[in-house]
Amino acid sequence: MRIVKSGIATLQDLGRFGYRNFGVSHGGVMDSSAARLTNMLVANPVDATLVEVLAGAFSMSSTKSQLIALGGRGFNAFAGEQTLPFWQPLMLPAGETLRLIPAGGGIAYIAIHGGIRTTPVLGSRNTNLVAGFGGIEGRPLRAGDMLPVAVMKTEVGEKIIRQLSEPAQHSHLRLSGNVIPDYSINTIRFFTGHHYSSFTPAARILLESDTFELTGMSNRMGYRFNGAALQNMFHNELISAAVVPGTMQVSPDGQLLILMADAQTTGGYPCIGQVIGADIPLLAQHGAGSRLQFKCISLNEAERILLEREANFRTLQNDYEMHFA
Amino acid sequence: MNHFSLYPLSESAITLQYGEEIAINRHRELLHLMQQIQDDPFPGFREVSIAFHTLTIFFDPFTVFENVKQSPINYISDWLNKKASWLGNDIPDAKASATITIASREQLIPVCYEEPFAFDLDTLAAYHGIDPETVISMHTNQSFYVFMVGFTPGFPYMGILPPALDTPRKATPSLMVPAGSVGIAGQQTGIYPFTSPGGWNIIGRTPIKLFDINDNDPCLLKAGDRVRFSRIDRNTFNYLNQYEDS
Repeated sequence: MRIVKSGIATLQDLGRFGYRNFGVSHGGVMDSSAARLTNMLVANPVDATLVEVLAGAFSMSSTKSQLIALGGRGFNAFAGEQTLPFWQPLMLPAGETLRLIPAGGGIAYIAIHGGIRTTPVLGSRNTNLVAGFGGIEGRPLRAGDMLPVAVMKTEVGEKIIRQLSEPAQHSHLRLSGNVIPDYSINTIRFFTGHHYSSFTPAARILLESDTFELTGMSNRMGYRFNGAALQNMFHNELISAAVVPGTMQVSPDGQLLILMADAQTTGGYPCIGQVIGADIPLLAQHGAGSRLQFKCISLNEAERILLEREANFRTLQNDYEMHFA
Repeated sequence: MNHFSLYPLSESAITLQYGEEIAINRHRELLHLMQQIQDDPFPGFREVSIAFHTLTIFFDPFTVFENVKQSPINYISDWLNKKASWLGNDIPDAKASATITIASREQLIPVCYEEPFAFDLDTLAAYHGIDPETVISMHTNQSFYVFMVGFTPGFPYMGILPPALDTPRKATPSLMVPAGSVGIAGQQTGIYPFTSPGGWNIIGRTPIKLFDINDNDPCLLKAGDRVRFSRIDRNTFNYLNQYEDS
């Protein structure tokens, strides 16, 4: 596949594990729910490498026909003049150009059957923009880049391709509404962070009662918010320790910064909360100007929600394969 | 009674904190514990990382759950409590094993403390009421211990600086600190492996790459290493410079 217009896009997967002691974070997709579903639709392993489009017009073409799927939100997709639906497997005909045009803001994923086969670096293909490795030369995609792809000889993949090759309506292959992430949700759940009790009672109340506006100072490393100042009762410098995506840091001016996929490995700001794993993808899909609220739940509840989400995904994956069996 | 505490960082990570302040002897024990965890992990283990006075263990909660059929956080917490119970007591296998099994290499890092690299050297010296030469000799006269690599790939956090060099971060961080810059923040000294924003007081620059993905071992310094800085002049810097492309 050849990139024609790059927009702002990188190659991503579900994470690079084992190198945090080198200061290398897991990285990977911002919206793991969308990425996993999109990979599933083209019979890829969930951690296959795909294209993550953050902004701008993106297009790519292929000399061979390809089984692809689109997920996430914020873009309209076309092949030639024809509109392409999200959340279902599609055949992109040989020589055709796939175009994504921004519409409303968000993050889109393009999965290609077989996955994108760039050379893995430290066990992963995701793009580490800070150190400049992984993906393609450790940088965002550019016009002219070639994405190596290879057909995977899987039974399910072949059956999907065969079914899509028949001249018929394929809209029944679209994911049903209840499994597509609900991106309209603007209440993000968290559990209390390590320094929660060092914040004033007023700050703890404000965190759940006030509305926080996502600012334009937001990127793959972190989302910065405008909102009520969250006062800390102590002002001593903290000793740096590990931080992860979803960590809700409060900077010295009292403003909230939530770390995202490309966050640094360690941090020294007080952590008021941790966004639950199941809600990080929903938070990721909000853009500058979004007004969000936060709701505290217990860690046990957060864990239960995450395990249930994983179990549901595995059931769905199984059902999808069975459909083509 | 344990000498450490645990707190969940996320549904897939737990941090163990040992002590309230920075100490090299406790850090050596944490390094030993990290080795023990890596040598004998549990199903679903992803990795363990070390910081100044903490270890963080990362895992895949679903794999853990499938194996133990209970709350992964509770299970890993129990596992870690048992594994770490020796912290602050004697090390089980052999008392001296923490120093035997943990590599402690001493690395020599050349640093040029001259203009145009030493942006904040004069300000830092004036802050302490000493001359820049004294700052340089204090920075080169002792070896420093690497507590962790974090922030960006390859960035070493080293200490412990003598009180006479203990300097707060700059009130306004610089937007662009060049790769190789050697800085001071609080009682720590560190090196920026990549050009990035930063708030440390910059006193010099090393021509040596701290992180090079094309090396078999991309990360030059590791937690537990010792570092000694050696003073070089501009000519030597230019000769040794590995950042020529930048």
